[in-house]
Amino acid sequence: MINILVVTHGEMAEGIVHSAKMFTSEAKNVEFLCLMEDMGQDELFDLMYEKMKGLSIDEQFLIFCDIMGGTPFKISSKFSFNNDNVAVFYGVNLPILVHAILSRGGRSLSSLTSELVEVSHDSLGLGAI
Amino acid sequence: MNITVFRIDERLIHGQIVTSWIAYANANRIIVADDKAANDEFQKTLLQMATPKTIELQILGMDEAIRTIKEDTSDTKTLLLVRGPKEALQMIEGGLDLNEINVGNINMKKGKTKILGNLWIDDEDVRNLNKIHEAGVALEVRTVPNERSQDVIKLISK
Repeated sequence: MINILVVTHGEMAEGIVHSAKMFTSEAKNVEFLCLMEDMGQDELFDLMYEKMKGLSIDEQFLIFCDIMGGTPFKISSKFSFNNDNVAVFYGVNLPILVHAILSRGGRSLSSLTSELVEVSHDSLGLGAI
Repeated sequence: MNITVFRIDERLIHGQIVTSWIAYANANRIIVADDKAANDEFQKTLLQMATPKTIELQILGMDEAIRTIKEDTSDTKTLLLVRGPKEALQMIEGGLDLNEINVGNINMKKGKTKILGNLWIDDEDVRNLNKIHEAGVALEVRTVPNERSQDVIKLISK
């Protein structure tokens, strides 16, 4: 099973994980980390390191971040750099997170992430009514 | 080169820069003046990734940054980023004619005192900030442009 970790500026990560569970019911191995205002990036790295311990081929991680280039993204990228067992997806929103949780079973990380990239295009837009 | 914003930010390029400071500075170019980043391929890749495609990014060692800025006579609007007060002072002492510094993030570390959520300082920071102030350069703290600007020297001498 692919582990999911959501990391954002402020409490968005906590909120979006709780919201996602309204669609997925109880979801195992879906965790979050919130970068709070007075937190240094080293502290975020340490917290993330705790979550990622024991990483192996059977313990793949998909990390969702909010803003491309933001601190959560940059710290997450330290873990995905040269590591096929960790992927970072930025611009997380609720439909994408729910889709990832529901369709990760029995999948490889790379097949899941390519699918998310495709699905993501339909997850934002203007309601035409 | 026209440096429209000179900022101290331990995180260099990150969310606040990408979402608001580039627009506020009206910048077409970002210069990151940092010895550590300039010699670290991974950091450089990350910083490049974090920079919008329409912005030119230069990651330079401190001395090279000073030289580049002095030699560039164009009018290119530039956002200049350094990691901390020590590096900002180095830029000033290097002879750059800049009269205001925005302090963005000097983050928590062991042994530092909290002034604001985004401003943690130790004795060395205080010395460097005072030297910058004595050189006639104004220091304001603001994480994002819309925030109320506060005088760093007033805050740290309380």
